[in-house]
Amino acid sequence: MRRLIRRLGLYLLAVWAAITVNFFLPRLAPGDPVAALQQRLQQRGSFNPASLDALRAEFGLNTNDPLWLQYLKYLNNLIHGNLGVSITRFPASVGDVIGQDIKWTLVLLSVSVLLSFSLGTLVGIFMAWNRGTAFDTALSSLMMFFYSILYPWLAIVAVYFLGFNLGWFPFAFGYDTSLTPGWSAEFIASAAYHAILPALTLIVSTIAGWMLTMRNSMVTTLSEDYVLLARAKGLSSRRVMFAYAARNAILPSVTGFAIALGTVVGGQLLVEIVFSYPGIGFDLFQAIQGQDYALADGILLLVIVATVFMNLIVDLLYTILDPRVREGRSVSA
Amino acid sequence: MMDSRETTGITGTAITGDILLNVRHLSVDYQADAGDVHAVTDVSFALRRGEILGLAGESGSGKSTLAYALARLLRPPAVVTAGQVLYSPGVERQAARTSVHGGRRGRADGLDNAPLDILRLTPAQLRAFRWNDLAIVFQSAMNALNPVMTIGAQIVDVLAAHRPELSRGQRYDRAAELVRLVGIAPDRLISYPHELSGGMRQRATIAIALALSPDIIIMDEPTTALDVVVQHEILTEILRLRAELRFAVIFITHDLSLLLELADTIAIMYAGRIVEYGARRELAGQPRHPYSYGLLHSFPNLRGPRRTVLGIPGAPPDLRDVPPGCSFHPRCPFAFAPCSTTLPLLRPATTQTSAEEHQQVACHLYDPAFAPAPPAEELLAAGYAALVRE
Ligand SMILES: Nc1ncnc2c1ncn2[C@@H]1O[C@H](COP(=O)(O)OP(=O)(O)OP(=O)(O)O)[C@@H](O)[C@H]1O
Ligand SMILES: [Mg+2]
Repeated sequence: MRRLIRRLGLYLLAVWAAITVNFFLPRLAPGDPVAALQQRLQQRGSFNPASLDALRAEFGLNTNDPLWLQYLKYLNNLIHGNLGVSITRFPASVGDVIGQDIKWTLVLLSVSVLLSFSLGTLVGIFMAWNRGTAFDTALSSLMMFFYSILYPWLAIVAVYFLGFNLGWFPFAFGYDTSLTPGWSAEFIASAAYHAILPALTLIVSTIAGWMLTMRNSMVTTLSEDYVLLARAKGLSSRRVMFAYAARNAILPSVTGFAIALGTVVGGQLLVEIVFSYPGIGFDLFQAIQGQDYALADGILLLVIVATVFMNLIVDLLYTILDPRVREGRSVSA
Repeated sequence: MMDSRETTGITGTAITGDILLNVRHLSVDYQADAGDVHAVTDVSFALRRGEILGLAGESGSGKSTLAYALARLLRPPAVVTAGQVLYSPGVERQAARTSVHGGRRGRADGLDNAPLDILRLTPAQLRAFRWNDLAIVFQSAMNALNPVMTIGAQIVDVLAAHRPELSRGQRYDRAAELVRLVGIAPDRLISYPHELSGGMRQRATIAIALALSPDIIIMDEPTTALDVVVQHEILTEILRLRAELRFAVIFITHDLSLLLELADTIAIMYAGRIVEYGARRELAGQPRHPYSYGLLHSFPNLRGPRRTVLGIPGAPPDLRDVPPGCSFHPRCPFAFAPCSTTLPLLRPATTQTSAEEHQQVACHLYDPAFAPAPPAEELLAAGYAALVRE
């Protein structure tokens, strides 16, 4: 318990450091976002030069204030949940943009990450159990191939063949834009249909990692004396495989799983860009292009908090899964 | 110390009444591209009910491989290339076991007296055989216990697998009874392995081994990882439990002096073969094989009479390419012409065989066809002393 409280303090410190860096870094970068917005609004013909300063103030970009005062205002705003106004999606607030788009990211990514992890780990267990057989060797080589594929290449191939050429799946956007978003069956079906291709590419590109990690870890545990003893005890194969071997072999995968879950909130930039998916990752991409500090800040902050939170979850999970970690004892080799 | 020399076994004779396990011409290879490793070659011995058989030999002599073969735990690339392991469960013990557990335990074969070949059990017979009839204790208790399960859970799961008729409460009661039996307080049942000391962990693995009151417990270097004091405690514990529960033990170690405290009979292994076999008293009094002599004198004796500590020069052979004749001859101070050509087999060490004499040795020095008279112990001593001086 003491250990967890100490870790919690550490995590809070990490969040604060992230917020601070998040605040200063973009402001040190060249370029004037309000001027960029001005340009954009001028193109639309709806710009009034007199409101430029008002805009600056509203965005918290008032350069008349000293930096520290801006920083304090920024912190104060954060505490009140006020993340500012998005420039690229003007006049929507950052909170609204994130709130609206995160659902897309959350659903797409949590489903793919969970599927990829559980399927990969399960197959990895069976590969290790049947190590050296044709099943294991063939799948291992296939997975090595999958593992070495770069994601953008895979995504483009999928979009081109399965989407563009064969027309089996839609390959852009999150739903059929002729429908109005809502809880109608038609809309949900369309959203699910649109999610298949991005989810598929995500699973294909990550499953090899889970499979090989689990397989190798499990091969190591299978040679442990406690597995041999479990077999000698005459326990069922299923019990030896899961309660003795896999239960110990999964520990190294847990950390990786939490990191992957952390990305669920932040979105996978590449996936969302390739598929123009209406999630947070695509927003971040647009925010950076449009020098939308407030939106980029908000998203990055969310990613950091999510990552820290997932780390906390891993800590908790480890405490449950590995009795040696409890009471702050180090894992002996 | 318990004295059960009356019940100690002899090999190769027709006596079968009391024999639990009869290992006949067992050979095990590890198949590898670079050549098969002949880890166990033509091993025969008998184990009687309640007997402690010590198996000693240098590292790599095939002791663990032999143990795993008996327990049906060999994994590829290991293969049994020849032999039988005949197991004869006794009727009276069968009845005792039924009353101890308050439940019936039918044998898969249905024949109580016909010996079973452990190496040829059907999957169902194997499931019934495992842990009910033969249990095993490994060298390192830290590695032999599942780090993420409590001691209690690791005992209870044996009971759950083999005694499904017991209720949850009965299983826990039995687990508590078992740990108490080996000197652990039942409140340690909820401890994880890392929370116990090395000695406690080894006691816990012994408790697991006792869970189903097996006929045979194989202990593969159960005390090697422990300090001398704890080691002695465990040995005393094993002797006490054996007296109480009458299981037979195959106790494996590379430390022959340990067996002199514990075993009823001792078998010495070299390069996959048993080179000498006899009652403890016989081996302690007069080791016959030059290798046994060297092995006995390569450990300081902590309690008994002082012995000069000698080493055996040289290293064991590569088991892929065992020297012809006697595999020990390249290291043997007494090697003579037939040793490099003719394979010595186990034969009685002395000519005047009486009922109490069990000592057998595989060495041409004791074969009247090659040597006129067996060598005296002083000769062996002088031979080794000469080697050490060089
Ligand atoms: N998986 C394997 N593949 C090939 N050879 C093996 C394998 N396992 C063991 N061996 C070889 O078999 C021989 C016997 O090994 P074993 O473990 O039975 O010896 P041991 O007498 O128990 O030794 P120790 O005292 O070190 O435990 C050794 O020479 C070893 O190198
Ligand atoms: Mg060994």
